[in-house]
Amino acid sequence: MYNYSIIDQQQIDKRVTEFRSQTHRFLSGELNAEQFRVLRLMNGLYIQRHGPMLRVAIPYGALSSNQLRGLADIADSYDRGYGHITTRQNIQFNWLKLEQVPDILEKLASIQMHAIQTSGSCIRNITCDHLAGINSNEVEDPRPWCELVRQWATMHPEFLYLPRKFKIAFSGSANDRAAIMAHDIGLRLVRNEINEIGFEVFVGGGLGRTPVVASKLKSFLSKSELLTYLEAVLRVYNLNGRRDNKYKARIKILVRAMGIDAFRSEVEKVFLNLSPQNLSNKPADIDNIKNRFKTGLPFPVNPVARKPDGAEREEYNKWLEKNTQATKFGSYKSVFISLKHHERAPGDLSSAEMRFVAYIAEKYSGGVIRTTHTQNLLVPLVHENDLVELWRSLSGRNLSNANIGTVQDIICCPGIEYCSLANTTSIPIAVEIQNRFNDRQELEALGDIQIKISGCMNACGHHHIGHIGILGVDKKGEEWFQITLGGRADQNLKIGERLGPAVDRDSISSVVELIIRHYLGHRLDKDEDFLSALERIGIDSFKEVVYARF
Amino acid sequence: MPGFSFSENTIALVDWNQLDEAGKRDQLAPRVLVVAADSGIENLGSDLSNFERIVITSTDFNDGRIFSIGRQLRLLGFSGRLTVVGDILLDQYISLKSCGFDDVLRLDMDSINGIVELDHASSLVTVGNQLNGGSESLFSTGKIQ
Repeated sequence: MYNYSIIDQQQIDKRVTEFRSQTHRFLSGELNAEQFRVLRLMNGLYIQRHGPMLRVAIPYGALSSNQLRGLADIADSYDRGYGHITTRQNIQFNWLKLEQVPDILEKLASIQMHAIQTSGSCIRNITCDHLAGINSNEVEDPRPWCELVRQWATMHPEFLYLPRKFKIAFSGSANDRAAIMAHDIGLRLVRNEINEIGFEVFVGGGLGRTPVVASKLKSFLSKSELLTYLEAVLRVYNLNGRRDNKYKARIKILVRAMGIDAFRSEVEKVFLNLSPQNLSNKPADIDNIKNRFKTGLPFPVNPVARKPDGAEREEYNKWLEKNTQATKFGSYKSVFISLKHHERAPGDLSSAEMRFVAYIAEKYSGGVIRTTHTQNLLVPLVHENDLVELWRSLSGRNLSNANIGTVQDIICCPGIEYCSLANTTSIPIAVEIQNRFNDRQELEALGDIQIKISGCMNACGHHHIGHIGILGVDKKGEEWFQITLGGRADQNLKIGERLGPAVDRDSISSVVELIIRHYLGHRLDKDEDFLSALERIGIDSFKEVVYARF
Repeated sequence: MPGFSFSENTIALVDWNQLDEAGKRDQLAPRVLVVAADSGIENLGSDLSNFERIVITSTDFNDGRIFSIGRQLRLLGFSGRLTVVGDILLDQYISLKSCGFDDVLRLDMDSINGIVELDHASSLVTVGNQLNGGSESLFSTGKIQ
């Protein structure tokens, strides 16, 4: 967990003052709506269906217990008692009043948080693998590099008015849990042939209405050149990206128009122009950042491992299997808290739950929590002695659903109920599907299937890269849903293939159930996962069964 | 700080490039070059020392190319005055200064009284980049030495 320096704190305090002034200038008529739109978006403030929505940055998904309590206070004081975790590890509040936003930002600044660059055409929150620093197959912990890039990108004088939004994600290992290939820039820590650690750089990935898998820009970038190289990429994009059509303004369109080789040449040209100016980040920069990360393993609460009672054993073991993961610290496990349940919108968390999670993280995991790309929470390091006690606590709050990675663990955008861009509902579809697979044994038998739902082609629910993707479309005022199959969000990132014509609102969850039951009936055995079975039997097999009935 | 006006000593980038093609640059000695935000500056490198001032014009405050153009001109070695004219917000002053601009003339101001020297622009709280203050090597905040 990174702790702010005095400079960090001064920056966000000044940003609060600046935004307060901008809000005042807008309300007094000094700034017009378009001018304020750009300035407020740059500070995470959207005008949504119900009014202003504030997206608060959770840099690379790291939160302290104190911060989570502060978010709970904001949810109670200014919102309707809950927040919503997004696919880029941030949290959103949906029911705010514009006049109160500067006060909310002040409260956030008091707990080392902010909403800077969580929207708008600028460099957004830096995201990374939620298992960073704790998984055993990591080349290096990417979080200090995320923090360096956060500092570099925050209020970067040259890159605040880009052609379009710009998203950067890091992975510290070959197993990609941050969907880096679906980002404008993806950075993976790798070793070269002489065992030096640096970055493999990908560019031009993205979802939205034109889904593109990122191309490799550079096989190995030395650490000291990271910021300079990013500056070169951003400058080429800022000067050459399209500004005449916002749907063609992302870097992926520029890379495709130029071709990756020409784009690389242009970046290298700018990069060489920068290098003699000695603009590289210095080792001291990253060392200072590393020193500001809180380290150390939490002390176990229980001197010996607690055991589940006989009646608890089955439930506990399922939870242990699905919702916990080994770490590189032998006797410590990572514990996922599923925010997926048929009685909650995916990613939603009440203020009472925030305070409870803050408490258990403090008790068992050194006061640190992470948000995940899949809209869940992670308690990163829990000693095995404490797992049973933690599980009992979570169960008492209905937060121990053993469904991580299953068909219930649906990624989903807020949909038409909240978002002014959406064409269709999204959350109710997720709830319907979860209800169809509520049987514990069946859920276990199905294995891991990722369903992702977006209420419009902006693809906030990442439907393109779901094993089963659902996209809401508007047809003459009615809600219809397109289905894609075979997408994946890992290191082999793949855009799903469209199944066929859209299906109507009443049919969508039945169709998804039919697809899943078709898989279940045709897989070789329980070890053949959904994607493998799809590849073997082909999408036509699914088409036939679906369109014979719908 | 006096204002400036477009005069016979001023030339637009497009005309400057045409003079180059015609081999007639030596016949003129313009002191001010005017560059629209949407024009390329790739071929300017060797000519920069001809100018006392380069003026970047912007028709939309949301067109962020001006920042990269300013930065790029400084990296190319331009050491004269760098001015931006057009649709600019007060909120952008500190970024403009960090990208190498010396002064700004907003569309809603007249050219005599409206030009603001960015070194003295402090009427508004705006936030710069922390690495800019913390590490001078990361960004140029003025002319390249």
